[in-house]
Amino acid sequence: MVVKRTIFILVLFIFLTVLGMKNAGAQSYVLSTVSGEGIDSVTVRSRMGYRITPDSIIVSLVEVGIMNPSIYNWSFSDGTTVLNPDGSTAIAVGGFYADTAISAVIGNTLGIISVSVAEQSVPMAGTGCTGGTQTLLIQVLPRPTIYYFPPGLLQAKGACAVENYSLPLSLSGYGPWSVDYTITFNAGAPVAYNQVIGSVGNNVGTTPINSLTLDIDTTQLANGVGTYLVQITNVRDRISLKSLDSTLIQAHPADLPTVDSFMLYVYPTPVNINTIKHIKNW
Amino acid sequence: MKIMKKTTIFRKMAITAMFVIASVGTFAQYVVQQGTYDASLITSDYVTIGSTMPYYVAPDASIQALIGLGAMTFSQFEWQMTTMGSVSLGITPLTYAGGALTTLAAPNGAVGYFTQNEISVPWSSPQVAVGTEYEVQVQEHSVPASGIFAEGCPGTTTVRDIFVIAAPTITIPVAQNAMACGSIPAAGLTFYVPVTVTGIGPWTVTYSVTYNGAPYLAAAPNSVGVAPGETDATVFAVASTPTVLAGTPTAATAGLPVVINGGGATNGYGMYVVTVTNITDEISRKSLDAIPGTLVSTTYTIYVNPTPATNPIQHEINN
Repeated sequence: MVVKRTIFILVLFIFLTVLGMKNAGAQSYVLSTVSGEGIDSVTVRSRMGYRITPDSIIVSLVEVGIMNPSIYNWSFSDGTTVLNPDGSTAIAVGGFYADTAISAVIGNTLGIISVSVAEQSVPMAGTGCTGGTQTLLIQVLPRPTIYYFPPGLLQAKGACAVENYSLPLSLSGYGPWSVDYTITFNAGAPVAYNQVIGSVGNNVGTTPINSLTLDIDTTQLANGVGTYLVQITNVRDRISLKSLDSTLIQAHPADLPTVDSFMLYVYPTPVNINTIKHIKNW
Repeated sequence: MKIMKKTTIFRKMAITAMFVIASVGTFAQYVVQQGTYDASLITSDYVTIGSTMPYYVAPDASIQALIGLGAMTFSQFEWQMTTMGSVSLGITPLTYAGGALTTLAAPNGAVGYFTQNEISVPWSSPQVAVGTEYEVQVQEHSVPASGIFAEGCPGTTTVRDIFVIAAPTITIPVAQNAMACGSIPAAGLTFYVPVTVTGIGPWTVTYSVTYNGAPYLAAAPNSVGVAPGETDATVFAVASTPTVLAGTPTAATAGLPVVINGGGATNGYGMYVVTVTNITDEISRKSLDAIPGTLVSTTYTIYVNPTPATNPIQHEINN
C-alpha cells in the first residue's frame, strides 16, 4: 500500500516537473515605467520574456488593411540571442523581428545588461518609419542558495512521538522561495514535497537570511516509528521563478546544503513494561 | 356700284401685299447672339472631336440700316463646313440651342440658305478626324423688301479655320506613393498628386478622395496647368504631347491637391485614395455639350505613414 502511494506521488512529481519545464506558469508583465520596475531583475541562465505594445495608430491602420504589421529590432547589449516566446530561434530579416514579444536565455555573467527595441512601420508603399528606441536595463542576479543552519553539520532531531519540526535554514536571494525536498522513511523511496518559504519582503540578495525554517508537519512523518531523512533538492526564489523555462533555473549542487540532509527520528515508546523482578526470597 | 367695288378690290390687294412683305420680315429676323465669342476675328478655332461649337456672323450693318427703314428685309446665310479644299463635309448645322435651322421656301428663300446668322456645328466622327484642319464658310445673301430671294445680292464668303483635336487625357503615372516618415498631418498638409495630361491647358480635373475607405473629400474641380499659347502651327502637336504635372508632398506647385487632415482615431494617418472622374481642357470646355475627357488611369493612393511611437518594454514583474 505504501509502495503504491509512493509510486503515484513520484509519477505525479515527474509529470508536474515536465509540465513546468516549458511553462513556468502564468507570467505577469509590467511596464518598465512602473515604479520599482525600471530595471528587470533576472537570474543567470533563466529564459526571460519581453514584449511591447505596438503603436496604437498603426494597429488601427493594420486592422483596416492599410498598413502591414510593424517589425521590431530587438537586441541585447551583450549579444544574447533573441528567441521566440516559446524558446525557439527567432528569425530576423534585416535585423528586424516580426513579433512584439521575445524571450532570451540570459548569460552567466552577473551585472547589468540591457535589451533594446525600436518599432518600424511596414507601409503598403514606400519605406517604413523607425520609431524611437526603448531600452530596458536588466540586472543579472545569481541563483538563490539554501542550506540548513548552521551549515556544514549533519543535523538530527527526534522525539518519542510524531511532532512538527522547524528546520532552520540559511537562504539567499529574493523571497518568497520555493523549496523542493524529499522525505525518505527508513531508506525507502523518497516522497517529494514543496514548500513556499518567506515573503516578498525578504530581499536579502547574497547575504543569507537565517531566520526562516523548513516546516515539517506530522502528516509528512506519518509512517510511524523510524527515521525520516529530509533532503532539499531544489530552491527557486521570486526572481528565478520568472524564468519561462524552469529547467534552466534548477539549483546546482553548490546551491544546496553541503551536508544535504536533516534526520528526524520518531523513537519507539515502550508500552509493554514487564513486572519488576527481584531475587527470590526463599 | 362698280366703281366702289373696284376700290374695294384695290384696297384688299394693297393690304395683301403689305401682309406678304410683313410675313417675310417676320420669318427672317436675325437671332440675338447667344454665345460668347472671341473678340479677335483673326484667330483659328480649336475644337474637340465630338464637341458642338457655335458660330456667329454679324449681318452687314448697312443692310440692317435699310431694314430699319423698310427698304430691305433680313438677309439669309449659307453656312458650309468643308475641307481645306472647300469640299463639303456633309455636316448639318443646327441652331445654337441644337434645333433645326430655318429655310424659307422659294421665292423667299433658296436651298442651302438659312435665316440664322448664329449656328452650332457638331464636329464628330466620321465627318471629321482628329488632327485635321477644316473650314467653316458663310455667305450673307441680301433680300430686298419684296421678299424675293433671287432679287437680292450674294455677299462674299468669309472663312474660319477649324482645328479638330482630341479630347484631353489624364494619366496618373504612379499607382501609389507615400509621404515621408513623420509627416504628421495634424495641422493639415497638401499632397500634390502627379498627373500627366494631354490637351491644351489649363485643364480642369474633377476628382474625389476617400480616407481609409470612407468618403473624405469631394474635391472641387481643380484647375491645373496654364494656357501654353498655341499657334496654328503647333496646336496639333501641343494637344497630343503629354504634359507632366509632377506633384510632391512638399512643393505646392502642380498636380492635384489633396489636403491631408489630422484628427480622428488615426490622427490623419493612413490611406487616401484619389479618384479622377473627369478632365476637360481649355478647348473641350468651349463645347456646348459636356465633352468627357479620356481617363487613362484614374486612381492614386497616398499613404501617410506614421513614425511608430515605440512603447516601453514590458518585462515580467519583479515584485
